[in-house]
Amino acid sequence: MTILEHYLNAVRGYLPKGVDKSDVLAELGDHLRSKMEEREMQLGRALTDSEQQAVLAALGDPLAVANAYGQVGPGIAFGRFRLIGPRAFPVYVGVLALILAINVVSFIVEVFVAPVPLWSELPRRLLSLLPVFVIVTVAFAGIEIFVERSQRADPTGAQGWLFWTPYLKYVPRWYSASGLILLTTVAAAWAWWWGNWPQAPAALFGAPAEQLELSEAWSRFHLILLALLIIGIALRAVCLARPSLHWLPVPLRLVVNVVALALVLPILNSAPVVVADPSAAIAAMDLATAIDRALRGLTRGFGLYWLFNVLWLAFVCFGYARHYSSARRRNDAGG
Amino acid sequence: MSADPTNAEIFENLRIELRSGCVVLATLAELRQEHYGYTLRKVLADSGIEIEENTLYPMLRRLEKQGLLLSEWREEDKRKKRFYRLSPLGKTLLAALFDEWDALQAALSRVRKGR
Repeated sequence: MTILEHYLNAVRGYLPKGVDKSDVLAELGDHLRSKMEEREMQLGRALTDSEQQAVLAALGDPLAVANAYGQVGPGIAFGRFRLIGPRAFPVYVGVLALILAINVVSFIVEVFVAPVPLWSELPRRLLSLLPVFVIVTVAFAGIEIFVERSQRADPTGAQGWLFWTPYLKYVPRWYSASGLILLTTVAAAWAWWWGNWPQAPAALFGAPAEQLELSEAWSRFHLILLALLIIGIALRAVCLARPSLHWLPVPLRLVVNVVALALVLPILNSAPVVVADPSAAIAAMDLATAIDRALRGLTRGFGLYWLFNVLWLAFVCFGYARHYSSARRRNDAGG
Repeated sequence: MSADPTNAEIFENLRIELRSGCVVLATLAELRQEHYGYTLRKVLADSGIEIEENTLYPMLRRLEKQGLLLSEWREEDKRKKRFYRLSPLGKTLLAALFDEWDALQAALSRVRKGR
């Protein structure tokens, strides 16, 4: 699917009800193709991805394009102040619904597993969700303000609307390059740490660390996590070499993050990661406990990061899948 | 949240209001000959009437819905394009609108001279 088709699909998603969407999009598509062809004639060559994106950016935000055909979807606004716009609104509602669903399911499980007083517990449980809903709302409002500001600062740029339509975005080189450098550094540090154990901790924590060793359980996860890191490095390297494979990182990163997320609980359950020799000094045992506590905290932190990543990447993948399947349906229908 | 409009903003708003009717008139006039959106926009631009795509296409649909335009999808240069032309009702109304335009222009000239 070309970036033009992605763009038209994004417009389709915002077009109001009652509009002949296929007709509008066919006309817009023809117009944009004519513009691209004219530009190609001027340049005497095919347009690059970024040049195609510039043609689309000149037509504008898919939401604004759709808005010209009638009022687009709902949002939350107080007078002129828009808290959550129509672009973010479906995602916002989806996140709230997901949180509610998780809580309802967990509550139903609790009711069946343990005798929980249903009618007294239910209002309390729902009330406890209120702060979460407020935090989600504030977070979305913050993103809205940030995106709106960036769009106001650069009205002709595409970054503002690309934020909510990530499946339109080609993988930017800076992202891949910085990710490649970061992950390579982490992997190198990892390999160095592993190869120099226990000299590496001793350099950081002093002599007691020499009496520590990595637990046997940890060695199981070591290779898996290292493999995930190497996949990340390879992914970014491929993106740098072949930017046209813009669709590849999102599903692959989703898989990597799901695997990483699935490892969180086993890693936490297999603690301790670091053990002290039975004959070690108390200082070494304290150090082992401290390192284990820190690693557990770090694992929980990464777990949250992976969870958010999985949710975000799943949203992006869903966007891809929805647009690809609707495009395929239209192609099939068109013969 | 927004500051008072500047003179430039006020002028821009008034200019848009002034132009909007003229753009419809010019579009109807150009569609005495058949065009599709892309060429219509170019022809209008060549005549000095710039119009954004996001204004042109919804306007064409509105005019068609009102019965002033007729449209059909046809293949040209190996691609399907939607061609628009003035309907019989559109022709009648265009003539009436041009009469109105002439009268308005004459009145405005008198008002302008009077100052």
